Amino acid sequence: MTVDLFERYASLDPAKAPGNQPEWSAVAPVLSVVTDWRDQNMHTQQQTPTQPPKPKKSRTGLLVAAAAFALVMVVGVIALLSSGDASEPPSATTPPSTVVAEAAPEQAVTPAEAIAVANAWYVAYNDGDVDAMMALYAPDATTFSNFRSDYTLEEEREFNVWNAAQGTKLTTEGCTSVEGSAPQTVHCDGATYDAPTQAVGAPPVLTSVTMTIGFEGIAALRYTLGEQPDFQHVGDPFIAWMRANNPEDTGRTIFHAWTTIEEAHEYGLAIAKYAQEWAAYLEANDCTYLDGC
Amino acid sequence: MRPQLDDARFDQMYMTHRDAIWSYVMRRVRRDDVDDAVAEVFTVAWRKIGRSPDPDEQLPWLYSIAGFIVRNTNRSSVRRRRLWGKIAVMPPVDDPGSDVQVVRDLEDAELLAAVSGLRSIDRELLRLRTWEELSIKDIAVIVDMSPKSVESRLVRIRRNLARMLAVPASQLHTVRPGYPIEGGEQ
Repeated sequence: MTVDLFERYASLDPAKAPGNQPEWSAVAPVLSVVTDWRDQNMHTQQQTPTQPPKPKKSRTGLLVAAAAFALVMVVGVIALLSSGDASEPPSATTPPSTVVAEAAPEQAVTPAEAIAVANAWYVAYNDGDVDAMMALYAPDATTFSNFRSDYTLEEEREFNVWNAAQGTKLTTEGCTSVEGSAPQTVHCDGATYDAPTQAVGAPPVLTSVTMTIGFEGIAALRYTLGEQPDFQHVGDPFIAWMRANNPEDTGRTIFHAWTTIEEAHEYGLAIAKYAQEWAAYLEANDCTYLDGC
Repeated sequence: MRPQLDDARFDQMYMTHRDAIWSYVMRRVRRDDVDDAVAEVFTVAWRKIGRSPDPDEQLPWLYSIAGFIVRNTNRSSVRRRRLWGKIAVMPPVDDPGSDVQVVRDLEDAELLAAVSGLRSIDRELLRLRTWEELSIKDIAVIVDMSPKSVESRLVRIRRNLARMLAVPASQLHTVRPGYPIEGGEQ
């Protein structure tokens, strides 16, 4: 016997599968906010239709409940101030598409999600995993800073390759979301330890990173370096030592000397190598990076 | 002051139609998102209660609201998965009991695969007809088409499904019913 395709499809209704029944205690918290507000403000004699035993503890549930409550408060204020609403009859002819055109706004990246992205970025940075870092950026991301020009994504990759090759570490005390930001923005305070800094045990450069994060990833990233100490604090004596002891390679250890991604990698490795040699030289000659020899 | 008529109207609407709306949403979004999406539907209905239709037209009206909420929810869900994929952190494990579709045999699997190859509007028409068991007239209101268009589309859907199922299951994904297919669901 041939089964009609529509009938067969009807039999595949997931709502009729065992275990797929509504849990009204999960939905009711939002409605209880709505009806509670109504009861408190309208002095109605009606009982609320639902009595939630336990609110559902979900991130989105709480957000929806908060949004619904705020929405109801706004609607209530408007209703109280308006003199026309009470007489407006319910319309049976309003097209559904018009009525629902302003239904729930698009959901946005949550603070927790944005912080997870930022944390993943720091982990990848300190692992020297540039591919993992770059995977976190949105396709049209831009990076800004107070120590160099704005970078495109490709320039950012080269910069990250350079840092990864020399083993730069970027610490953070933890990232926090900027309250009320839209799109979602997180701010992370910490410090940068480049290869020369690590080699001589110098204090790091305070570094804040601010990221704007959407569903495509990091849309914008801004590095803000502290003023003191700055990179010249260690960089100047390092370059001075390079000029005196390795003049032919000095050019490769200067910031942004690279012109290709291959050079970024090669020059980063060079800085790491010479930073170690510089530290060994200082120690052997009982000198400090601050005072020289 | 909000009329008490609106309160009674909302209460009656909620109690009468909440199961139907829950089922509608459950059939279309991830289980984790169902409860919040249902709450959003009735939140919108509450906001718009003054413009809600008469009781015998309320369900199609609620379905229309639910359709918008479902599309928003799924759009965000897809983008969230993409974002989580970037940071290689797995989202909470789905409840397999609620997200897995009913599949009793190979024919069911083939039919579901064929349906997933339909245009999204045709998928929705099929579901409104077979899962929500709505009349042509009610479907027409929800999707904002004429009843005649709905009817002829359903006939075409049935024909296309039959044609798609006539090919081997391994080739189903390469079969198109003659028009561009929009992105599939989860």
